[in-house]
Amino acid sequence: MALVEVKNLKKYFVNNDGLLYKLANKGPIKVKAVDDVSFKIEKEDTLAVVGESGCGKTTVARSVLRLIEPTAGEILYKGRSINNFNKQELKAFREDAQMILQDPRSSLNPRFIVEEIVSEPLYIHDQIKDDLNLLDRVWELLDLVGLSKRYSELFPHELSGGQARRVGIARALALQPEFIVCDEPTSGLDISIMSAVLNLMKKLQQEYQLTYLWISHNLHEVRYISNKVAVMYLGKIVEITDTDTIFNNSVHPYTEALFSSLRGINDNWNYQEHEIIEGEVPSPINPPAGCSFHPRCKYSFDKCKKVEPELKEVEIGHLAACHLYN
Amino acid sequence: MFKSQKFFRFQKKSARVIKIMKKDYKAYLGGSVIMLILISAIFAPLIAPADPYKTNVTKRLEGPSLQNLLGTDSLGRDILSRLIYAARPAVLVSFGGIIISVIIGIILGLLAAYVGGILESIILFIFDVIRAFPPIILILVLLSIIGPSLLSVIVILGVTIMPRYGRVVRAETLSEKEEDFVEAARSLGADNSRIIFKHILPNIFASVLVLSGMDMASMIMWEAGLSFLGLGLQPPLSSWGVMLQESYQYIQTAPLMILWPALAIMLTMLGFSTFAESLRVALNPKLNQEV
Amino acid sequence: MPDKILKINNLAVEYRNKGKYLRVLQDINLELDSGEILALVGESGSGKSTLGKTILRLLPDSARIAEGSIFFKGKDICNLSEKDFNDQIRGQEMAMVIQNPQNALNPVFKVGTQILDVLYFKSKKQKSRKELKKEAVEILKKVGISDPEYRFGEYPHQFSGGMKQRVMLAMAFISNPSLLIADEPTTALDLTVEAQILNLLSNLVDEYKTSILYISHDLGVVVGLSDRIAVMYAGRIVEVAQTRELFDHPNHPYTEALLKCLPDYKKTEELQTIPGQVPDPGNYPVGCNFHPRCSYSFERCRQEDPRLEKIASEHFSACFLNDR
Repeated sequence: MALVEVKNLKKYFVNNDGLLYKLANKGPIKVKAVDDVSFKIEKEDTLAVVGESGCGKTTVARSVLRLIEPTAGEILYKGRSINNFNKQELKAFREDAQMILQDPRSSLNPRFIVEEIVSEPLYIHDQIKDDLNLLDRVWELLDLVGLSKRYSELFPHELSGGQARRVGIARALALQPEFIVCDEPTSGLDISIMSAVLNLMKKLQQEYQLTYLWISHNLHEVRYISNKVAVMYLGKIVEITDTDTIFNNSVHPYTEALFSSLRGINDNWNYQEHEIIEGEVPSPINPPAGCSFHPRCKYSFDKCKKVEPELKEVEIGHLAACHLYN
Repeated sequence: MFKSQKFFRFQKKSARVIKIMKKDYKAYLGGSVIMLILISAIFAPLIAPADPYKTNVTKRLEGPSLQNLLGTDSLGRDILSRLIYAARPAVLVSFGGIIISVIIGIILGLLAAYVGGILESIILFIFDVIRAFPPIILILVLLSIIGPSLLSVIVILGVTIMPRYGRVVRAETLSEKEEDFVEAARSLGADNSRIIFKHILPNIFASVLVLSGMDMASMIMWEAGLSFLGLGLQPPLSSWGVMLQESYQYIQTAPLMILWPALAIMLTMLGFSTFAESLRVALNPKLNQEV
Repeated sequence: MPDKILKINNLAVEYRNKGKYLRVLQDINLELDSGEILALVGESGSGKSTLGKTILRLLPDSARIAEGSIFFKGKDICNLSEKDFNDQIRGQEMAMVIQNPQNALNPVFKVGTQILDVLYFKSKKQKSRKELKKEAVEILKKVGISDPEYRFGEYPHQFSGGMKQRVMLAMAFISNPSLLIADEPTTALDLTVEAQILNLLSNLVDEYKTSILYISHDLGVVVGLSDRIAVMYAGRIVEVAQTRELFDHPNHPYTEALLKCLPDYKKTEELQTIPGQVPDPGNYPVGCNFHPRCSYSFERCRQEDPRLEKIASEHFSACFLNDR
């Protein structure tokens, strides 16, 4: 049984506010942030969700933790639907599943010292048996993420970006979770700090058998950290398979374009002769009919403009949503 | 359980705040003014050199002398003693009014921001109604219903300026609610009361504090105005406002007389706002890097 | 040396903080040929943006140039009066593209109007705005904005981030500058859009023969764009080399460590990390700024400042290891 299973998740943001807007009688603006997304994450796996801004990857991350209520669809955690959890069940789930937010510093309360930040989950879940030993536990957690004891008395603004990120990770580990959603945990960090964070996350995963849902737009990082990749475009998963396959044998034209433009420091190349995909991601308010990628796709044919492709198995464990393959 | 880690942390944090304020001249300035007023209010009978109600028609409108340090008023009463006694209503009205408006404002503002929907519309409507009336008319109407007394003045002033706090609290709560650290707390399983009391309120408190520091003084002015209309304190009780109004008639014959209550009001205003400012800075870890 | 567009000699910049001057840039020596793209890379706090601002004289009042000189086309621009600098150089000979295109365009004016303004001032207020409109549309077309006549009348919020950065590039290239300072212009953009913008930038450079000082923290971007790279660490330039040379044969321990930190899709071995952290600006250690984090450091590193020395043709490095 998969640890996390997302079934046909949909999240539409509807905006019909404002008197003038109603008078103009245009009907509500519907933004399909996530449109029919399904995937599974096995225990101890890392599923990376990649895509450009506005593709809905953050919305997926928040829905999986039920921080927002989905419009439709179901999210199963250990086989049980989290959408029907009552208060106690939800609290138990929150103990098991943690989140690391994108901005390292703003995810920490500016008026808390590190000790309070890291111990907060312990207070929330009544895990403090002996209050006097709390500090030991906090130090233990800080040590785990490579921070010394003295940091426990600092305020977030006194930390560097990398240190704040480590504090955020320590907080996520405090309850010994099984599943962590990481929303671009390395964005905005310097290279040397980013590599330290990546190594730390990898080490923690092995040590504590963690399962990650890893949201990212950095494909190099995805290669390093994940073993499954889902590529999203305009609220849909267009391709999902394991990391090796997606880097070597991707089938969807969008994935192909995204990964073919991928160059590392060891390649000899330059932007002038670089293959680029034209155009930008269309607005999710008014997505193109048919396959949403067809206006930018070099292989597109008639059917792509009319019929929306379904996510189908191309080979075992490799799904893609493209008319070229079925 | 008494001396828990929480207690140590609180001790450490408050020691930090005190340490910062000790370095701030504003804290001393504001603090000493507030102390002065509080002491005069509490120990008025002990400090006042003369009976504030004892009239002496032969000594009307005298200037400062050794006997009457600040002179006498139109009925020959000692101005200094009256000023000291008048600190009592000043403290009661300003503190009482502010506390009432801050408490109601925070509750309504939080409810509006947190519950939303119809309740928010209703609360905002109440705010708008209160703000739509010129305050003096609102106060007069309410006072004529409840009847004039110090307590009713306090309650009514508190209610009248409450929408200021309610609006600020609501607006700041709405923006704090979207902060990343609030979302982080939610993902950790924190319930609403924890989010409100641990994460949101401490972060919006600074704005409320600054606002209330400024409002303290205007409370005293309002009380003065109402007393003048005969709706606040009843003679022979004195307040700074009452004294201001009395002296006003004699501004040509005894110009110094109006100076004393005016100075008292100004000093109070200065004291409260500088102290509030100093406290705001000390409470915000970002604003005091070096400790 | 007519070919050198920009020549920086022994530049040092200080910031005033609580009455004391903190040195944030030290010993900067840099040359830029015409038509060359030089990438300035470094982590946050390395002083790379400060250097860009110093060249354009956009430093705040609390900062001052403590030592050294900047020659632009053979002219010392440090001694130019602010008025002359603004009239002759800034926006004419030198232009800048900043990181966040969202804030760079004024939201209350139409995009076309803002381009026209630049053209109008470039023509020294000789031509009317009407005459210039055709030129402006032409420029929009050149930077790859589809349907430019229609887009001309739209407001900045109707443009996507990528399109705004295209407009910024267009405005920067209007005056045909000799030097463009680009401060992380693609950081806020998506991967595919970033590639488009950098492709455009490369082509514009070819066409206009403009030199570019490209400030970035992203080695993966720089590798496909620049001719040469200067690596900065804690207010100093530690290594300058041709792009390929730098990646294939890094000399300075910092550069070497940085490259081993970088996750790369071809790399499967464990990433390295650099112990410790970047020192705060102005609070640099005695000796080589990198020595507390350097695995090769020895006695001399703790005492003397290394200077940029030539170690191969067009390859400079500031490290005492080369003297041993």
